[in-house]
Amino acid sequence: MEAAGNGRREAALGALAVLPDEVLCAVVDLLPPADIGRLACASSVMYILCNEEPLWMSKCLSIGGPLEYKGLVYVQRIITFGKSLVSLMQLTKDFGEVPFRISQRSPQKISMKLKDYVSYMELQHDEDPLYIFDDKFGESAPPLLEDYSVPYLFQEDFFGILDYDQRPAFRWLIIGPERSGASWHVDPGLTSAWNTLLCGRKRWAMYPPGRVPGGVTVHESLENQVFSYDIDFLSQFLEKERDHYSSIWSPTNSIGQREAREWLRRLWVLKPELRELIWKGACLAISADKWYSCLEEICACHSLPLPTEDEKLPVGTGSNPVFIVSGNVIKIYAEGGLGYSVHGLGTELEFYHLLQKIGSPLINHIPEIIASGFLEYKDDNYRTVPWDGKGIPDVLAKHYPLEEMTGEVGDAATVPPEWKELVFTLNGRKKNVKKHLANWGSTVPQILLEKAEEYLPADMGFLIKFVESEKADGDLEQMNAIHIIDFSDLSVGDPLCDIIPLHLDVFRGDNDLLREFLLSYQLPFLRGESNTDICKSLQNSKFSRASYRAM
Amino acid sequence: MAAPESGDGNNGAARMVTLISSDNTRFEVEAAAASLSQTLQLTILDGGGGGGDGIPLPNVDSATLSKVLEYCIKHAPAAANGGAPNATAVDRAELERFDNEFVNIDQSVLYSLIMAAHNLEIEGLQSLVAKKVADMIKGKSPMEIRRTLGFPDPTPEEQAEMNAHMLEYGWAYE
Repeated sequence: MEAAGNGRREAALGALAVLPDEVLCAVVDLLPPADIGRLACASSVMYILCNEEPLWMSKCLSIGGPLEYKGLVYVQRIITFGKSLVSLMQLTKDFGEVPFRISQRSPQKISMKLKDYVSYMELQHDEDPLYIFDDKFGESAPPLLEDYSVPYLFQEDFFGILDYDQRPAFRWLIIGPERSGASWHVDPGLTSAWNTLLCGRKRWAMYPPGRVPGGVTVHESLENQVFSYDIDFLSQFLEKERDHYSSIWSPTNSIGQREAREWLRRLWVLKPELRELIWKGACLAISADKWYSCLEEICACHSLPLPTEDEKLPVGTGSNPVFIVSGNVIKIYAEGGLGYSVHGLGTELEFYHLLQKIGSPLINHIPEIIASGFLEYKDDNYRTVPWDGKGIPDVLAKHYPLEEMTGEVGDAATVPPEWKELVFTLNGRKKNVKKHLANWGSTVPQILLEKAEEYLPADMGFLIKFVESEKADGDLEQMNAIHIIDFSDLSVGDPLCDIIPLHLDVFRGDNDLLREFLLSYQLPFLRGESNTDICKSLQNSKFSRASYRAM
Repeated sequence: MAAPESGDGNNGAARMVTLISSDNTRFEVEAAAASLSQTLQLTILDGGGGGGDGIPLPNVDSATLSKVLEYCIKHAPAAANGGAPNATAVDRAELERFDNEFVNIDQSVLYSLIMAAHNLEIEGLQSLVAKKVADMIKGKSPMEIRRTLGFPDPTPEEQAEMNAHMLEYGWAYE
């Protein structure tokens, strides 16, 4: 193989074949585009060397000015701006002609129209792709500013004392494909900043001040810092006692509670000298002070020793704060709000209870429960109210009277006329559910068939909950359905309908996953722009709604 | 064989190092000049190449090495001034004249020089020779490039492939 390869080089390059590719590439790099084009036609090996994408990227960048990437335009990523769902397609529609600034690698200011950037993003294979890094998006696309608001913690604007034209760059829009991003750096402005993720994923790695990441060399001068890399940079992943923070940031994994907790805990243990600083950070980031007061109350109530200095921060990356205090585990259910937490605690207690009841040997491998209960916050103090997981705890009933679950909601009086037919049909289907599932084939185990009815509400109207609009009370026209019912699970019909729950539940709405899934069945992924005709006919129809689009 | 003259040298006690070419010729040269090579720099900093030892360079023959050293000796003073920010226009013009003259050489010598500059990592020389090759390509048609660089004639198969490429790069011909 190799010999054949070398033979090809010799046959195509003659004496020049002695020079390694990288030297030839350095030569090609010096040529203007037209000469590269002609050189490509002079020899088959030159043709290959002259078609390197990084070569043409650097050629374009060195020329500067507005950049256009020729190719098809098609996008399907969804960007969330604040609370509204905006597809990048929509963004391109609104701002396609607006030039945005591109991450700079050359002294020239490079900008690209959004539509051109999007086509570049979709088509490129660059190792280190260009990304939009624009500090003037507010000026070039003002409506974008209305799509977000600054979180309250950061609303104080120190640049406010400057005249507007004196302000340094202070807000950036960043858009980029896989593999794009900044390398190690210390924020050049040395400022505090907040970031929000609109869509996609981003990996952050953050180190405490003064700590240099593995494999990175810092050459520091008064003016600037230059970071260079060692091929051994992967060694950083082998650091067992790492004190840095590295996390993928995505809509389902925001940087916050869980990872921040793990990192802070590591720092707490490894760097006792920094504890004052870490505690401050932990109070802001993971409400360490609040959980610590809870912890104190719990320990006092159950006569457990108070947490030592080392034990003040929660451990692990679970969904709830967990403390280890003198060999005891204290778990505080908090995630997902009260209802969710009560459910979580109840389920866990039920599980322990069940193990006990059936005398499972598993019991030897799990901690014994000392106590469980609620913490009630009253008059600036926490108070413990015991609860063993059975019945509705008084403290809950007192503060949050629960609705009686059966029959009340969705009774005939509150169902708007146009939904009545539906509720009627559903109730009919519910009666037949066992037979229906049995007809489905042998896929559903008998035991589940028996239980199916238990899982359905007494009145199927319960599935639809209506809120009255404030304007017209009692006017059924003005009522809105606030739950989406997913009928696909109920029927044996077009398997296409099953794509909706699959997409929403299994893929969590991630279009890339859905695309891969469909590809594995050789099915095309309907793309808005590449199906312009369909797209036009769909506009303003019910098909443009989110649920239809998901399908 | 005598080492190339190292100019007058304003430092009489300049440290010398010995380099040994692939055909066993020894070249004695100022450490500052040899240090233009990134490859040699560390060895020299470690005190290598002095005395009777010498640094063997099995990839560079004596003809090429003498040419390389001619470049290094000429450029060492400017490099020692940190890229010569305070060099006079005359000095710079002189270096430029030298460079132009220096690469005005037979193609096979040029290629050996490229390889040596590459292996020894002499940055200035690397860009000088790369620029020379680029200049040989600039403004020529594919046929002329092929003739200039001595590419073998393509097989009919390759020619067909080439013709297709010429269509693709049509814009490169006005």
